[in-house]
Amino acid sequence: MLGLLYKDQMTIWSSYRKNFLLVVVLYTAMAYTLDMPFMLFALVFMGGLYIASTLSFDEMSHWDAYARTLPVSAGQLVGVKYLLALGWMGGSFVLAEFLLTACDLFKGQLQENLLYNLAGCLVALGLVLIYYALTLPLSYKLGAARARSGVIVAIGISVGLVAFASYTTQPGSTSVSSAAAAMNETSSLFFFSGGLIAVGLVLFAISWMVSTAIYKKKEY
Amino acid sequence: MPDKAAAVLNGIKKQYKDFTLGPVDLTIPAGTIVGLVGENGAGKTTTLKILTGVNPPDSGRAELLGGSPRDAAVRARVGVVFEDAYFYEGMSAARIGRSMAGIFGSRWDAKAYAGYLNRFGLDANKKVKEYSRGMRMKLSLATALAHAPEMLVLDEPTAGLDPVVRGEILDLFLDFIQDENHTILMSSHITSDLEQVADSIAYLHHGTLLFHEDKDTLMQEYGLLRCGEADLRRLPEGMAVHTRQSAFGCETLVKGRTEVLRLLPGAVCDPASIDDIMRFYSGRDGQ
Repeated sequence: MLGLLYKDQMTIWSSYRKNFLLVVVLYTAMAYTLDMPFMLFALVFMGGLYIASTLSFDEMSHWDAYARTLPVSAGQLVGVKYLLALGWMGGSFVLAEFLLTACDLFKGQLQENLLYNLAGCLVALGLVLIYYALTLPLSYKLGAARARSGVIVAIGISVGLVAFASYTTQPGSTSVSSAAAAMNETSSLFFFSGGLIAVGLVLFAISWMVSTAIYKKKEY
Repeated sequence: MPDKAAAVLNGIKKQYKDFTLGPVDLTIPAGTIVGLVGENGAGKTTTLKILTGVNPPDSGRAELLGGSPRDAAVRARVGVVFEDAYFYEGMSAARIGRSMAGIFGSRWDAKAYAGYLNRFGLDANKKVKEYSRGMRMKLSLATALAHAPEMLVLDEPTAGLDPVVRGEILDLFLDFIQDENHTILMSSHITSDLEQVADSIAYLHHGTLLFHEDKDTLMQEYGLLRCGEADLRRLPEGMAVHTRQSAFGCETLVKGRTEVLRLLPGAVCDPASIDDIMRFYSGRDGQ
């Protein structure tokens, strides 16, 4: 298991370390100079993206045919991707939060932005967890490139449905919106982001089980 | 051949959209080198993948070192080299070694791995993509050997290599097999390599195992007969596998070379190479 983690981490590090450093510098500069803190929220997404890329590298080198001859189980082979994704997303979350705090500290806006930034990073983390919970099983089923397109189409359809539903529903008519109205803005944001992360983690765990089942059936 | 089996394929069948393997019954005796030959698409890689647990058979039973290939503990005792399946080429030999150490745990011998890299002249810090084809194959072999496997399963280990590198690799196989408990099953298109090192030859043809015979017996058994058609007709049914007509007469692959020479004392019947046997079987089925 440790050997598999090491292999994927080293694959990412040898392929993406320059890209990662560039993204960190660029996004921080944009967040600081253009007042676009959401660019640093995107760092969390990038963390997951690197893991999804290891699946492409595996496909290119036909790693899975070789890996199945090694003394590791299908659950371990798939599990390391999920563990590493959690690690990278968690690490990127901490880094984004740190950089946002540092930017605000320099600008003297720490007090007013602290909670907003934290909530923003938490929402980003929740959304990214859900995104990769959907993408990883599809990557095992269809291949990494086709899975990305599939999920983007699915997200587009979902956003369209939500937009349609909100257009046809009277505002304030649901119990959820009534409850949200009762809370202040910050509380709602943390309630929403906490729920999103909880849902994301549950979906992520289910996703690992689904991916393992797909992987076991797959032939190389 | 030794009695103990290192691997057994029993009634293995695998169906694909445009290809069917088997049923294949094949026993790999422990302490020997078995060469698996066959044309492109004959089912060699499919067979090796089933034996090493990469893919399951549709029916039949595969046994590896007394256990199932699906068992990780059994796979820990086997070293595998596939022609085109390995670590990502951005990894260096040193990093591959550290990864394998984590995968194999106490079975992994880092000193042995470093020794193989040294013996093969491989720079541990170079990335795989900077290696030549021969160097990549040597690295694959180093990773397959450094956990002291009891059996090596090799898919085209000498393909695309120059004669010097092939010679080094064949020497390595002969070293490995010095231990009587060690076994090698290797597929190859370069039949001259198998003629040098293999103890027995298994021939897969269109997904069917045509034979698995001791190499020396095989070379004695099959012959290339050059004679006229009238002489050919004097041979008993089944002795001539296939005949090729040319401007200079006919050339026939015969089974039972000694008997042929007894029946046709004036005819020329040289021992057939593995290549000859494959060419004539292939020609027979192509008709």
